[in-house]
Amino acid sequence: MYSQLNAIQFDKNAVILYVIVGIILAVVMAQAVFFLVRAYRRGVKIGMSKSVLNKTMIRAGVFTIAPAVAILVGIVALSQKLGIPLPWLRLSVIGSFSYETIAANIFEGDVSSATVYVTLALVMTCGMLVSMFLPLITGKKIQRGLMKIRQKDKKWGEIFMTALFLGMISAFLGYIFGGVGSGASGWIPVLVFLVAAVVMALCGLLLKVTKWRWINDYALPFCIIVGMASAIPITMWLG
Amino acid sequence: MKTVKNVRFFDDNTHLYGRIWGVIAAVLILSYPFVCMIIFDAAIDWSIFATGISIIVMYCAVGAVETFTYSPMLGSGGTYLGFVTGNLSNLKVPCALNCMEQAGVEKGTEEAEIISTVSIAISSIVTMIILILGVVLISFLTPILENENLKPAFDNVLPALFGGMAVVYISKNWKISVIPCVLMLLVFIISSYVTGSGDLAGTLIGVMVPVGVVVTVVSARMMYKKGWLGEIGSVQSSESTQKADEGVADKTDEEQK
Repeated sequence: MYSQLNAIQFDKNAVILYVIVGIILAVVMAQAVFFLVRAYRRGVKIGMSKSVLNKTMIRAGVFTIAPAVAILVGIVALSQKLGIPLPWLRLSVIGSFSYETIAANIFEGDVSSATVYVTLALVMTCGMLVSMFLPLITGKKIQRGLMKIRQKDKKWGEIFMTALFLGMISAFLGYIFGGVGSGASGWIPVLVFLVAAVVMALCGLLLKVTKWRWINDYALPFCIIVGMASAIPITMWLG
Repeated sequence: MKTVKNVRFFDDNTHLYGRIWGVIAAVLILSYPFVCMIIFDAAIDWSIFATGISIIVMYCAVGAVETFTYSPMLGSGGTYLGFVTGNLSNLKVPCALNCMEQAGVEKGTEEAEIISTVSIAISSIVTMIILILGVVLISFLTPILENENLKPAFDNVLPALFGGMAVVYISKNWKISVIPCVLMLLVFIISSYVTGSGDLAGTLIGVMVPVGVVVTVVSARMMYKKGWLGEIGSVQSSESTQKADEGVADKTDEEQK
């Protein structure tokens, strides 16, 4: 059996690689389904409305489409160097397009040997070791700590959680302006950001005037798509 | 007392299942290079690997920072799932945040935990389905996805995403937002003008997310102590929120009896 496997000639798009990635992703998918079913049942049990939970599922699904297509673009970009299975795996689990690209580029040139392929795969995987294992060790302590903060002072607990989210948003706000020193092209993300922000403000205004609650459900995915689409003429203008 | 016990029981199990699934997923993900080594009878090229060590160390540090930054936002179930399925800052965290906001649940409660877990699970499933379809149809889709005219759209997902989110969050919590937003804008704009490029921003963001979080929490704490923060604007009333906390959990106890 081993000698038969040994005989497989290196191909970065070999069928066996698709099978291996498929198996790994099937397990990850099973985990997602397990947590979904468990959380849904718990929600119903503690008295949450099924319509709130169902709407959450629809919102999350709609929200995901545009960013997921952008991840697919990442797979296409990396597939030229690494074939399809490895980028498919790496961008479907913990990791990021920027890291996988940097890791893949430690070897310049075409990946034509199995040695280079497995080495790059190992580098890509090792960079996520901490992200994979640390939450398993610290997860409980962090959540218990938050519970204590909340029990001690409920209002501060609420402000604390809001501050966490705002800290992240503020950092990404800065990041979007992080290229303005490079010239006109550095302003493209800023203008895209502003377009999305204006569209969101208009959606809020429309919601206030018309009282159409469905606007609230789809405002953010709509902003993302309009913002992304606006990048095309903005880039033609400034790029 | 029983209420707390009930919530704890569910939470303890979440941690147990999260760890079991997390270890299984991590072992499988880690096994890929080694299985490839066996299949192709190949060895690691340690000279190439050595050139990647600095990148591995850097991203391990980023991973540690992300764990402490995003775990409190995602809740227990969301954390275990999010740190397996990845794409946290560009998808899972904003998705969970948006769903919690829309559902009108109070952050940090069990309801928020449930909404966060449901949204991350659905987001993970939808992402995987889209990627499977994309891989199956890759020869058909490649010319479209690599079209030069469409490239700027795919390059600007983050600005589009955070543009919409910033309006909602900053307008509702402007007092807490002012200090971190001004600070982050200054850091990134100055660094960009000093280097004359946007290259540094990609590296800086890994460090600046936790910095932004710490600055926001500290400044919010100071404002809270001084009594400058009245009602914070992120929580809306909803059917689910009205049933939150003690009353709901009491009901669960009764059901269990």
